[in-house]
Amino acid sequence: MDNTHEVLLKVENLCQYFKMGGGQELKAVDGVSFEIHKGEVFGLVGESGCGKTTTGRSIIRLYDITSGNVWFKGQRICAGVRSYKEAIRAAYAAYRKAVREVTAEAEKAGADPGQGEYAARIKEAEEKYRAVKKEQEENIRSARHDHKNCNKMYAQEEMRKVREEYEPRLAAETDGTKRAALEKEFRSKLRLAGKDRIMNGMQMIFQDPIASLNPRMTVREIIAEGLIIRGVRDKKYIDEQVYKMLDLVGLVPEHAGRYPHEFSGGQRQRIGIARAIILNPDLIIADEPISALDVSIQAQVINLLNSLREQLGLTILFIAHDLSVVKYFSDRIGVMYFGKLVELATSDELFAHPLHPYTKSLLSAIPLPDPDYEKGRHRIVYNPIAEHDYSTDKPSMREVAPGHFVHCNDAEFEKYRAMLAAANGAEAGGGAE
Amino acid sequence: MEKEIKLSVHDLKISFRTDAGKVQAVRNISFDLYKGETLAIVGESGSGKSVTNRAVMGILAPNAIKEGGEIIYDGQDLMKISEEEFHKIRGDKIAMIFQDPMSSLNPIMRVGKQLTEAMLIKGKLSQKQSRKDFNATLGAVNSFMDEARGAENDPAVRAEDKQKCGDFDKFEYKHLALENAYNRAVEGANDAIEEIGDVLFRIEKKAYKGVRADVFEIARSASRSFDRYVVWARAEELKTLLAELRRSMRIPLSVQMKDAARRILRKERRKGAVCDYEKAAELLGKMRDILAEAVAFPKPNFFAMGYYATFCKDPVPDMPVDELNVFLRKYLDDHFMLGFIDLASRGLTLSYRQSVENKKAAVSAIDESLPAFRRETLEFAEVKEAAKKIEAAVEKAIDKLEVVKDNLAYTFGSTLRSAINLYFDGIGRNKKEEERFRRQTEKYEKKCAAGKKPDYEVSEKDLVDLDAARENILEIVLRMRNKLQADIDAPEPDFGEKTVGIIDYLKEKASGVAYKVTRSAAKLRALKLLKEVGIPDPARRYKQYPFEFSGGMRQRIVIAIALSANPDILICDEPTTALDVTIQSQILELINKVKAERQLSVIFITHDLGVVANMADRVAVMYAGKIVEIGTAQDVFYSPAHPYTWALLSSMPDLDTKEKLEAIPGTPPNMIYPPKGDAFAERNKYALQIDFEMQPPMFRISDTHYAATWLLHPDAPKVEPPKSVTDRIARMKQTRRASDGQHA
Repeated sequence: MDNTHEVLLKVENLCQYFKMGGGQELKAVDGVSFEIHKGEVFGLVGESGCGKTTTGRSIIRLYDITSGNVWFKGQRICAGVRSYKEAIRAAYAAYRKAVREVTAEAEKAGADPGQGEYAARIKEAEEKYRAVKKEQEENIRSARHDHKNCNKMYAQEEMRKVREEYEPRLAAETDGTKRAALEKEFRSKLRLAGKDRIMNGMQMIFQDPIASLNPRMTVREIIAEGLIIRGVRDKKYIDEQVYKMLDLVGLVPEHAGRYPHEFSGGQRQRIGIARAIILNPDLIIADEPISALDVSIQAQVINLLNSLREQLGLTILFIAHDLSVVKYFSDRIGVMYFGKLVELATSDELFAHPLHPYTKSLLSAIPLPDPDYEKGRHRIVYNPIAEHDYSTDKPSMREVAPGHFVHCNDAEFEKYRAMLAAANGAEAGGGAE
Repeated sequence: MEKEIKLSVHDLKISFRTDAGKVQAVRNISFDLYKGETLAIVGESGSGKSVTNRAVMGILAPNAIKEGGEIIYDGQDLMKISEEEFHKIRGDKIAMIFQDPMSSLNPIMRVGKQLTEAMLIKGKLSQKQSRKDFNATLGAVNSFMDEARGAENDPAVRAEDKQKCGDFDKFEYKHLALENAYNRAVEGANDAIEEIGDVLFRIEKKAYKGVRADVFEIARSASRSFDRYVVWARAEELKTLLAELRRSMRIPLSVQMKDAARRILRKERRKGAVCDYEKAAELLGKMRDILAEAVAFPKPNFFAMGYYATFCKDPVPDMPVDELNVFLRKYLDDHFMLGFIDLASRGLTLSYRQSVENKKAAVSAIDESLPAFRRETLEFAEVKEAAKKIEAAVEKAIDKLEVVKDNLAYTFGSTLRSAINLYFDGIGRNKKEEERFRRQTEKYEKKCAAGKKPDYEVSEKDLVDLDAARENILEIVLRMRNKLQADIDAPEPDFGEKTVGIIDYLKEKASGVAYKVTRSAAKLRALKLLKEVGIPDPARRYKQYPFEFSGGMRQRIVIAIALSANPDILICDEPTTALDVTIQSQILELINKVKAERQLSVIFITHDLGVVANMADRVAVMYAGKIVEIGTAQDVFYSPAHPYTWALLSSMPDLDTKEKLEAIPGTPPNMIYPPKGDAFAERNKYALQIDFEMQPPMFRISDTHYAATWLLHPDAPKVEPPKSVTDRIARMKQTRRASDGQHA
């Protein structure tokens, strides 16, 4: 996928920590950064407990993130403050250290640390600390503001747009009845815009269709709930929309009056999908949408998601652990391991040239419906202690080839580049033969 | 070699009573499970795969109706035995791993307790049972010995025989005590060696976290290894090393005082005491050498030593193991073994010949009564009489000293009886059923005639096919007759070999008696199991509750519990469906490993075809309560024959799939009103007209491969599998050739 595509979602250094009691913290997601372009399917894979679901849930603001930023349609929707606070703390520690050093030096020299050159040095350190503090406090304020008010700001922006559109027309309209009608339209549009949320552009499909549908609501109520909360009051319009969505996901209007228990697993998942798409979202976060389904139904749901993606131009963050499906469905894939994103590439590239040892291990574990291949398959075991030596050089996300990122340090970076070059060379050579 | 059949399911039929009507979950399925193989059952939910296996485990829901068929295991029909008898089989012989680990573990019980609970309860029972079996077999050997020597009236000879068998009984226990001590020591040494490798690696990588706890465990394992035939010559050296190691790692000396020791450790750490890892690594290296040397020693012949230690006044001589073995063997042979083998083999010969005679008698008894079964309509009294006679004759013909039990003969009586009952009950049942159908149809038609539209259908007549039932009875009898005739015609076996077999059997039973499960032994074994299933830090995990484990870990615990009883058959009901690939792969490897080690037979239920390809030796594809295709994994994956198998294969993407997936349209049929013809016909684009009208029989494709579809009928039009399936098979063949080329 080339970089010219518009970036729809940008995740920047996302951290999500959970308190574990006893002062301990679980770093469920630790410094994850990626971008999702408009119209693509971004797959997120990794073993259970690696934080892929938490990432999805953090992005859609089911959790308040600890640190980092999430930008959606160019607006910051989540922001954590931990990293700024830590910067202040670090600056304060540096300041205290400087003071101690200066005092010790002064005592050694037998001078009064409160005066002369020493006092100036202390003052300088303090000023440095104050500057950092001021800057970070500003960051914290803006982060908190954005985090809290992103929906309001979005609504105000939408309202402004509506006003801009209607106010000149209203002013130009002189006919009394027409003017009243226009004003009515304007009012209702304004009300709707005032209830609009930026988060409406992001919807989620859950893993377990039974658990995620309210058993005491009919399918119509379930699907229409989003619209009603959104402020739509027109019953006819709502029904129309519900039937349209049912039709889109391959159900029939008669199903609208039934309850979820009357459906099979695949149909329930379709209801979940209909509920997600009724608000015309730009991004769908699909959290293992097919894991709980039967084989013969899985293909139906994948095909449905694929066709919806074409029809509605959806962007999908696809979280799953079935790698064959992820490969089939996604354009780009990110691999997560213990809260960190370790490799990110287009799906073909990732499967053709896995670089990070964890990715290799993950790929070697996929079972394929081919008995002879399976008899000879060897799983590669990933042992982080044996694979990496990060004692001196800390790793970070680096671009090994265009669009192919790996979490590595300098030495590994060189190694991976060499590996990739060798692999490409071999392929080119093979092609020439 | 003929494969040994472990479990045989024949014509199983199970339904469920529900408010809406009778759901026919399993409809006449049959399969055999061989020893040491994995049979995978594939199908979507509601296809009856779980129900089948729950029937095998005897844990069907209370509203289940066992309509017919049999499940034969170890000479018993599991469909008919009582709950009490099932207690001996369930978990012990047939274990099950469930899909959802959380619901199969007790949430308020520590994992360790759940692991050891069954061991402790069953330990005593199995000890009793082994004792019973041991005594019974030894008694039978004894009586045949007497008979072979014609010693009914000769008390001296009888006393001698009795003495021999008694001796065997006595020294066998000594043998086991010695051997168990040795095994424990070797196990300890091996554990220590393995752990040392791991710890050394971590010290080298400077990952010190948890090293001290592991060294503590190593010290514990290593101190188990002191035994006369393991670490003996260098025992002092090892002890010094251990002491030094403890000092350098600041590990408390006494294992018992763990809590106190932990306090001391904490205190020391506060004071800034540090572990000397370099030194520890050096010491561990030395220790490993000593232990490796000790493990490499040859194993003494404990069987012979047991005899020597029991009956010879002198202590066991101190000499190298090789010489010792020769010496002991000679002593045993001279004093006991050769005589015993001779006598036992004479007993066995007699028993075999007698049973052949009895079998001949049974065959003639069957031949006599065959006309009674061959009538057009059976006579109740006559058939009962004949069945009774045959049953007695067959029972008499069972060779009591046969180690491998002949399932057919053991279950013959009950099978025959139930088949006969089915026939005679069926006569009455059919009348009632006809009456019901007539009445309901009348009512239905009346309603229709009145212009109402009834919101139900009259369910089909559920009749017992009397002709089939009669043929079934005849077949059971003839099958028995053929088996008996085959045994009579078989050449006489090698009685020496058979004697060794029976001695091994006795040894096995004796070990069952000697294996006493104490609390600490159970804990040790549980820890070992936890480690075997890949749970790190088992000592700490042992004390945790299920909620403290992740999904994969929980599933491993369930597997450990299932394995703790050393079952014969392991039923895995979608054990990896909820897990991700890495864990799934680990668990599958684990099951495969255990299967190879213990010669387990595994029934593996799943809907993931990749997993099936990995695990299965044979595959059965189920749809709507029937097996639609069964064959080896190669058969089913490379030349699938049933349209449902095609659909399954083409609906899952693999790594090279680019085109649109071919989803199976529609949903499975409602099993309250199962379709008249092929159940898959409605969703099948290759369905023929006959598929809607008649159920296809199992067509034979090869000796191992069968499928139930009319497409295989010689008159059917030729239909090729869909393109995506043929493409995929071609692709698989290609990659295989490519990888073969690479290996060459």
